[in-house]
Amino acid sequence: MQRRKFLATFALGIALAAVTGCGGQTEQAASKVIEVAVTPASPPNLFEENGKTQGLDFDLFDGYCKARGCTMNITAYDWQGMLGAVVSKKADVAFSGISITEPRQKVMDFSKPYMDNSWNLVSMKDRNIKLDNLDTLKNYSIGFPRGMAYMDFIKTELEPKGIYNVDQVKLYPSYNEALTDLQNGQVDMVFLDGTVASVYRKKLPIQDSYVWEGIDRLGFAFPKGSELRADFDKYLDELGPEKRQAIIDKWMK
Amino acid sequence: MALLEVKDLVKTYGDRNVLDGVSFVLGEGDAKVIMGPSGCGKSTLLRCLNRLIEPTSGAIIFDGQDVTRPDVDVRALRSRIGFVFQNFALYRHLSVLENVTLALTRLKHMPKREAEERALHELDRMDMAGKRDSYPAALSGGQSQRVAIARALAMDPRVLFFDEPTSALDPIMVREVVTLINRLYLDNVTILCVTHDLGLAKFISDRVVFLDRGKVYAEDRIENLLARESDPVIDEFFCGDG
Amino acid sequence: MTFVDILLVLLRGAGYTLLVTLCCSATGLVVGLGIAIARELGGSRLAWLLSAIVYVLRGIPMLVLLFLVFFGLPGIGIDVSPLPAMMLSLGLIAGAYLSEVFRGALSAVNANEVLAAQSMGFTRFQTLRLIKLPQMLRFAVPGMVNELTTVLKFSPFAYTVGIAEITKQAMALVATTMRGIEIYAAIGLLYFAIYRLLLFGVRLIEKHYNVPGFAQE
Repeated sequence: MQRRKFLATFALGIALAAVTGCGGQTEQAASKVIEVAVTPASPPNLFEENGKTQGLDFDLFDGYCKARGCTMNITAYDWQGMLGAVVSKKADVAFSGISITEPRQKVMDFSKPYMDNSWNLVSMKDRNIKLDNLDTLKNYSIGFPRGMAYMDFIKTELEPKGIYNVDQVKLYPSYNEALTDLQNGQVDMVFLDGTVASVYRKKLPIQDSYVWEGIDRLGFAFPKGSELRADFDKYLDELGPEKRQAIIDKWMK
Repeated sequence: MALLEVKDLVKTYGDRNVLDGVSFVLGEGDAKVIMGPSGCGKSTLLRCLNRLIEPTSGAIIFDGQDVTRPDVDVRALRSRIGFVFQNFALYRHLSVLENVTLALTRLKHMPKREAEERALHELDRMDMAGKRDSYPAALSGGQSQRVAIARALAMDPRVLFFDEPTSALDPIMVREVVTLINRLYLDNVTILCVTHDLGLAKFISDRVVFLDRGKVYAEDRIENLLARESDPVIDEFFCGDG
Repeated sequence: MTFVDILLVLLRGAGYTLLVTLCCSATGLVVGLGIAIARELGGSRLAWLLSAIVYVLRGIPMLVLLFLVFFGLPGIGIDVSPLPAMMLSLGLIAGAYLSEVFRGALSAVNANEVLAAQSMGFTRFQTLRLIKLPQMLRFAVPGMVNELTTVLKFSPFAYTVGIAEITKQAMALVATTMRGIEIYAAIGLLYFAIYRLLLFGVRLIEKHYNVPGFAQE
């Protein structure tokens, strides 16, 4: 019985230590700390190399923090966790190449759009699939990650016109898995946004089968009613379009 | 005044009276055996006496106190009765020594050293001191039963109850256990033993309480009972297939 | 980047994986034991309530409960950090499953031994503590190891609430290197290694409490 008491206390001890020890991020007294949620799987907007978070979005927000004298506390989530974090106010801001969509706007506030994004349907070069129009689209299977804006697009724009059916879609946890299946031939085409396509085009033998321009705009996501958003919009104005484009070009080329 | 007096004990299950008005007396230093055909209620009787089973009606006067009353401290009662089961019921996760000291340290709050001394004394009495660190799984049936008896004795009970102590043992082990209980009998330990083993009965008791269908059919010295050949019930039990 | 480099990056998450696994298992153990003990000592109404709770916990998908706790509770003003959120979801569910393991293990305890204990004058509580629980725990070892393994396999969900365990490292790595197959193979190896490590720990504890011939009958 002593042994069991020991085991029970041991277990309780671990539990307590974990709760207190991992209770949260340390508050820094001097400067303001901003809780940031990201998904480091969306290059070039947000990714991780050698343990360092970097990317286009990171540079933009980093500039903001330097200008305002605050620091970022970055927590990595999977895609839906990241969105959930900002909706539930656990994070002050989220960014990883997030598209501004109506359903999302219902539950979170977006900054001004900071870049335009194309949506690219890519396929393997050796299959030579190039579509001039969307008539033959339904002959192919399309894959993309869960929780992305493509789903809404298909539901509201393509399905009513009979161009494509939601049932034909293959869903994946992230771009990585979708592209793996593309390479295996398990799926014909993968929906990437322009930024992601720019990265993967350098690494994989893929080409654009069809591109939608100008329908997607990216924004930084904030909890509803966030004051940070207003300030960040101000910063974007202060930064000006040229400097912003310079940052974008740095990563997209 | 007798140590134990049972008056008109009744135990009803549903519409059946398993015990139908049992009465007998056990004095201090007495050794009695309860025998009878299966279904006569002997095991039930024993378990009513320490209230493992709740009697339906009747009185059990133990040490001058009627223990069937609801306000009785049942745990205190039980710690004054040593109970030895047919299947030994040793705590299999504890060593032999720990089996015997458990109640001493946890119920009597004896310090460990004193408890171990007491335990070893009783184990020695049962010739099991050498196996103090063995576990029950490693013991034979006879050895297990001896440890069980030592465990019961260690609590210094007023009486020892045995419930078919030799029924699970082979003949050699039976002899081993009978010899030891006989020693206790000769030491004037108060004994109440349920059994169907005539050999055991002869070695460890003065009188037999013969139960039949929930009633005390007869109580007498063994020789006298055996001599009643003309009595159909007794004859059936002792000389029939039982 | 060699395979070994990949392993090293993934190893950064291994500490969190272990932490999550151990914390949730500990929670599960405490909860499971608590339920088992409460069932033994409490009345029938309490037992009914506990059965209902266990029923719900076993039926709810872990991810759903996790999101409820982590993203949902802030809505009513309760803020939960990532690790406690894991313990309140994966840990609770593990506890529910363990309580069933314990229920089975408890029934394996020899009724005669319990009777003997009661005959000696032990209280219900003492009988539980001195006889039933020590035996129950030994009978429950296979079930407990099973649950521990399951908890390990659910630990990747910690990433959804921001804990940087192995799977997170892997996803970040695949995004930049595109070497999916190697990375997933490396993860597999790593989880297997952690599994063996945990088993080793369990065996050590088991050896210490071993009673020779315990499970024979």
